[in-house]
Amino acid sequence: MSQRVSVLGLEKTSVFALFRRIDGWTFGALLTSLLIAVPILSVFVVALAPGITSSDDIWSHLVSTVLFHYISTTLTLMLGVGAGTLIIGTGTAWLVTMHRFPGQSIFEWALVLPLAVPAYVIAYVYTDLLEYAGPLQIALRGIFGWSSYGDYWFPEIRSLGGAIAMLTLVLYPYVYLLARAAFLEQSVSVLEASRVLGKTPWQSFTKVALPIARPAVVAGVSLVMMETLNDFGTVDYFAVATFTAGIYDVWLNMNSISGAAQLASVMLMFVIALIALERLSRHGRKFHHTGSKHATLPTVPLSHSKALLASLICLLPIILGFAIPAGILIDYSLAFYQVTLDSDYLLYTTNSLLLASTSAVLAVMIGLFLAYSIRLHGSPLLIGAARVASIGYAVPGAVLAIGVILPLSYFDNAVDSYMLETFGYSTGLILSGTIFAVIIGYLVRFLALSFGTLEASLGKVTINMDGASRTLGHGPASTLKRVHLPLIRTSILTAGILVFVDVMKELPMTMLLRPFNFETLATYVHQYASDELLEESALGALTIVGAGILPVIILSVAISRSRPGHRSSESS
Amino acid sequence: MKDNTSMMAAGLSMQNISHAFGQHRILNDISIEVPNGQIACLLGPSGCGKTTLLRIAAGLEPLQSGKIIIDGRSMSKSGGRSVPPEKRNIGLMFQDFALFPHLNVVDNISFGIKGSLSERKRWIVAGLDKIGLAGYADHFPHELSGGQQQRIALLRALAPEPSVLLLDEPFSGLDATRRASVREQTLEFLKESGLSALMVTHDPEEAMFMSDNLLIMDKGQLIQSGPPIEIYSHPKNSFVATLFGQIDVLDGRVNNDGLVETSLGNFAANQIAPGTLVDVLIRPEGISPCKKSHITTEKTETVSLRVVGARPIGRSSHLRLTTLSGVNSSSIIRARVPGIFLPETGSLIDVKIDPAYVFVFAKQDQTP
Repeated sequence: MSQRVSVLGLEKTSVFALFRRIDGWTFGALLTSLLIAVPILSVFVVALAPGITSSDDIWSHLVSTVLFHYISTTLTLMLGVGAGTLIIGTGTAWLVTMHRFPGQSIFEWALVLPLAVPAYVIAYVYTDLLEYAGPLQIALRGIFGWSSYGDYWFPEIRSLGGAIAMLTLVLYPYVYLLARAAFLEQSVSVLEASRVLGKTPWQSFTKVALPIARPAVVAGVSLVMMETLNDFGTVDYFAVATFTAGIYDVWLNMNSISGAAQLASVMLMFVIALIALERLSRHGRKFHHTGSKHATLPTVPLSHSKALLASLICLLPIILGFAIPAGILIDYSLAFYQVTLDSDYLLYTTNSLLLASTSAVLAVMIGLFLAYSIRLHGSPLLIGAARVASIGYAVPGAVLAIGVILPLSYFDNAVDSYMLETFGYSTGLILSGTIFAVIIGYLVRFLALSFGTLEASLGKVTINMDGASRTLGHGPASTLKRVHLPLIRTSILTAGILVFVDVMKELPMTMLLRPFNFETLATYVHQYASDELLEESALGALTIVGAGILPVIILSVAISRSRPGHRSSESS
Repeated sequence: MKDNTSMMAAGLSMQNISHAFGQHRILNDISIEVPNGQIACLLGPSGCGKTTLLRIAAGLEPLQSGKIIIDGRSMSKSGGRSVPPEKRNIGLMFQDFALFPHLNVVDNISFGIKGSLSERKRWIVAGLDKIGLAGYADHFPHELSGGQQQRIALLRALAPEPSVLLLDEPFSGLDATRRASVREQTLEFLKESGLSALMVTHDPEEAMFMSDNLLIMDKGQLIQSGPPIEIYSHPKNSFVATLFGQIDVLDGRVNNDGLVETSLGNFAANQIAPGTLVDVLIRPEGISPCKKSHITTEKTETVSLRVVGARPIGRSSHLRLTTLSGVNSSSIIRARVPGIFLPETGSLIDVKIDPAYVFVFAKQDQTP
């Protein structure tokens, strides 16, 4: 009872009474959620009422030419990456949590490292390494005496298969992290019961551990698929015709926002399916904790040959997903840093840093405001509004860009025609095509990161803290400042870093929303790599990877602390 | 500690409070008064709504219907809004103490103090000294024991000089050995500060010890209120009687003389109509063994009972007894006898039953 937060009595009060009870916090939070949700809702409106934008007949053209190709390519990519990350993520998680072998405690956190590398960066590096003119094929030709393309077979990296491989290598940590957490969460007694009842370790894994972890694994795979759907850099570079690439092509090359919007609305169905999948899997998490005994998991020591194999299996994704790309980028950076510095690298870095820090600060402030308002007055209306506002994480950047640009240009046109009529003066575009639009896009997409982190963190502070502060004479704002902020300091930093890094890496929205001739590190690296100038922009790519290491460190610290078994064995 | 003449607070008054979470009714038309300087205890099983009532008084739960007056000031504002908790001038002590983990002892205590801190510095120092934590000003909550945290939480709640102190199960977080001494200290402290206090508890001993006025709640309703000894001696119904610990129940029927005949003797039926089926409740402390010689001289009714088991439990002995004949011959009667008294199993003892510990209530269900 004491944990209960007051609930606005939606069911019994009249609308009038409801509005009487809405105070500044609720009103502000509702308004903020609504503003954040506008781009998301715009896309839904376009999807449900295509008449709004289809003034040209580009849609029928798209249907008759590329639409079904987009659908099949996107589906293949998603399924391929989903399967790849499922195998690597679950397999490595099972190895490091349930077994003892050399390097296991290092692999436990090092397996997260590839998360620092954006998919487009790894795609540039491997293309550079594996293409016909790359060092590997040159070396093979030298060894075997082949002289031309027709003499031998070598997999083409710039293909759908290549894109699946690249995305798998950097996205599997999502599955790994969730699967690992699910394995660790499992009650030891359940696994021990399985062993005592006569099952081998392998049988216990397939019959007990894996089924219990399934909801977490499904959640991880659906996150991976959302990221896959969002990817633009890799598929653009590999010329794989997915929806994101299509939206970009129709918008910027065919110059038809309405056509892009219609593609986006089809893509939205994929998103809805993924959100449903993720929600369903979270729902299923309920059957996790049947016992609360978190002793150290019974790890199986492996024999020499098996231990070596396990080490290799864990080492491979780290080498392929992190060590090789980082190594090559460092190598190139050392050789070409002067060229990079000469090409406005500092300006682009400054642009990226400014955008990332502004967005991070805003996202943390908005996220904190929403999370705290919900804590104060957890009305179903407000909770629902916040859920809608944080759906952006699931919507691909290219789709969100359309959601941002439609209302903004509507606003610009309205202001422009009003000014023209009234004062005979055209204002032109005020908001669209500005930094403002870019930041709005980032906020809509990444608010879920800060909101989710801060909501979880606030949730760990007992509600009696609020009660104590309030009865001691401090209002909601003073309580937030004097009690909550000091208590959730670390999470505020974490939330900020998460948003900061994702903005640094973000490519598709930036490409579509940025002002003319405005470059960030990500767009600059993509531009150079597309022009076969990876070496010259390696320092830029390395900077992005370097920033990406930050959340990996946070996760690693969390991993080393999130071992309930170890903690309980210390205290008992 | 405090000038008593300046503490003429008018106390707490809650009138006709009803409350529901969604469709679920928690409180039903409850009215309570805590006059100035009194300590009132809400006693009831968990889930009876007592904590919700306390949170409504604090303003942490919105007031849905009824009226709250603190210190002579209504807590309802125009437009259906309530005075927020920070403007009520109340203190609240939580079950988990809710000390701010990022603040040390002194900062915790001074958290609620308005205006000049230096004026209250002396009060804080004296308070810490009084509760035996003089050297702990710089300590953080996690460095303190449960009992120490409890005392700091009390001091923190009192520091802003509230007119009413609310306490939510303030001793339940402490282990049994500490509870008694902390309780005594808290009572002394509250009485000295002279403010009104409303405390929620499910522990009858605690409630009796602390309260001037005891309020019994069940299923969202106020069942009985009054001085604790009054409620202990004259429970209104079997629910209230049962709240104060183990009690034995015998079945019976009121005869035409206004008595209930049971295997343990006849008991006055207190105006219950003849023929009514009744429960006869007997507290274990109401049964005491007596020597044969006394009985013949005094004209007290005694009963012979067979000893089924006897266990020493420290200050008293716990006997399990059974009657030799009668309708309830198979049931076990329990007795609490002061000191060490351990008759052999199977032996017969004579006991007398103090009618002050026997309560007769009509059965709800009158079908035999």
